[in-house]
Amino acid sequence: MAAADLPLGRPPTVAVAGRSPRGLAWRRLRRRPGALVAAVVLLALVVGAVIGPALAPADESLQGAANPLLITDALNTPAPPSAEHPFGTADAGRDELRLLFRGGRVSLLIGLAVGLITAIVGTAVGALAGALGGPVDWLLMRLTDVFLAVPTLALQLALIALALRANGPVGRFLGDLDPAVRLIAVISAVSWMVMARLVRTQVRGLMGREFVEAAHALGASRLRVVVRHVLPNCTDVIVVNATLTVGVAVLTESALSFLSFGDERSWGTLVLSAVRQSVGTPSQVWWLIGGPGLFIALTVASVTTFGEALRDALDPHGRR
Amino acid sequence: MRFVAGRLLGGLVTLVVVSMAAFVLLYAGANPTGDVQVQVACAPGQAPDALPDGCSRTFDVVHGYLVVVVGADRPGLGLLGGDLGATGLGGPVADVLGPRVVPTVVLIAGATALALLVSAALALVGGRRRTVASAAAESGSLLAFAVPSFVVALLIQATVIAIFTSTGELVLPTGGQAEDGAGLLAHARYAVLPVVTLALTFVAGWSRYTRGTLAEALAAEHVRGARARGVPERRITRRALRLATVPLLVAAAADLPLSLSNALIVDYVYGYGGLGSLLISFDRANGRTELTLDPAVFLAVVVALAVVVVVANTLADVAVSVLDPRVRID
Repeated sequence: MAAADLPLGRPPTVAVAGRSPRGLAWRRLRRRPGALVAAVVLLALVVGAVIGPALAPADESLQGAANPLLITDALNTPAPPSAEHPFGTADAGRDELRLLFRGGRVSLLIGLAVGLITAIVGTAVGALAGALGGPVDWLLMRLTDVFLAVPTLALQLALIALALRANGPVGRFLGDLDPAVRLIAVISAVSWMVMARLVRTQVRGLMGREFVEAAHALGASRLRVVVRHVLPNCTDVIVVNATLTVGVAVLTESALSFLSFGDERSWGTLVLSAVRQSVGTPSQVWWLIGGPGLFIALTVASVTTFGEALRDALDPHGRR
Repeated sequence: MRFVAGRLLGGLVTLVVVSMAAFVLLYAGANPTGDVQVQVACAPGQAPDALPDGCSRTFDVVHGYLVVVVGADRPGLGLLGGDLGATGLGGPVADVLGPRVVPTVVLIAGATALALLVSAALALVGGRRRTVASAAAESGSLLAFAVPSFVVALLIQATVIAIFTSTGELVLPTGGQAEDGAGLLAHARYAVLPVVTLALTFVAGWSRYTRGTLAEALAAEHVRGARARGVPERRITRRALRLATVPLLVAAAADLPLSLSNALIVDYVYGYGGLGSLLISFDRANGRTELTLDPAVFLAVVVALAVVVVVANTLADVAVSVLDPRVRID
């Protein structure tokens, strides 16, 4: 009998169009008002970072100063928000909104880079542990435990201290990097563990399933089985966790920048330079603390909301 | 008991590995074949080299680890036994860390206690059913989680200073520590703002995990059953709150590395004198941020905080088994 003659009973595609698991997840995601708001805020932040610096009000010192050396002290002092400068001005009459948009480029890029690296490293560790099992699994999971036991900021600062001393291979490697890239490396170094654990659990669960056994029986190598059959089934976990990692990474980046170890344009550095100028009286520059704080909070809150909505939408069993 | 012993043994192994990895990383930059410079106490009669009160010696990595962490050159158990070794400046690390312990413990313990109280109260008020208020609390707590702790600390400082400049009255000190001879009240006044700030970040972080758990606990079938049998509402709430504490504890334990990071930052911003202001300090005069570069200090801080993480995780597991009758450990 030819294969085409088999009574396969094609499913009635017309009646259930668009009801694939992904389609259902998409519908659930769109129904969550939080996810929509988060997506809009995030889009606005990205657009602002890309074209915002060109649209923001012009810097004060550039206007009307015939001789830049004669800029008065009044122009040098930061000014609170006004109609002209909705987020106030920083030192030397620079428009804070422009600085905030520009800072978004750095902070968002670092967050995305850390999310991407976490996804790659965490997936690799988790897939290796889950697929190979035995001593490799034990070793990798103990390594994960060790990293989870170390308080993140202390380790990050230790890595930065190592870079400043240029001690040993790791110190020299980190020391040669640009501050922004160094932060990506330092933050990624302590953010892959949760991803590795989740992927390992998922891979272990999938390794015993029939379709994996079928692939094995057909002669597929272990690598091929993992890459082609198991990992595609982990995409949900990876995407959701990477999204949540981006939020935490933006927070961490801002903190390390505030401690003076970041890129000079980033949101954290903006707060630092404001505090430096105010000489111990942050009340005099509250808008230079609140402005970056607002941008960081909006970014982290919307990324986290979106990630959590994504998780709920992709997991039909976990719905509340 | 066997479970607890097993967990503690596993934790001990983790800590030993942490100390090894941290040593190789901090002293040798992760080069296991390189030499390490280690500060040791000088032998009697030996003149200290360039650094005050200390003699530096060069070892290979394994020997250096044995000297610094296991204390091979001196009696006792080394770092793991509480002997912290010498700093790069030659003085004992214990002298550097010692004064930092009390502020750090006050800060973390005080903020944890305050945050647990506030979280329980929030769960009681907002967790009963989904209302506008609980939705607002939800988005509020998410936004609070998203604001970096240093911004929260600076804005609280700014508010207190603004009140000071307008009324001439300093409600609470916005930084530093009480002098040594000062009374308990003076010490407490300096602790208020750092503790409240840190507690705020804790509540915000935990509430992401614990949203609606009391509502869930109150809607559970056994609770409905109890209500149907006429069990008084107060007893039901007490039971449900007990169950709802479980995810709170799990969240608090899982969040601990992040919480400790926030503790370090809050400590630094307020100059409260704990471990945070030991690792990083801000020089007001020239506006520079200084980072401790001494590997001995970093090693001691990393291992000390790792001990806190391991112990707290074990305690949380035990507490969960006590609170939740469905979880049994033995």
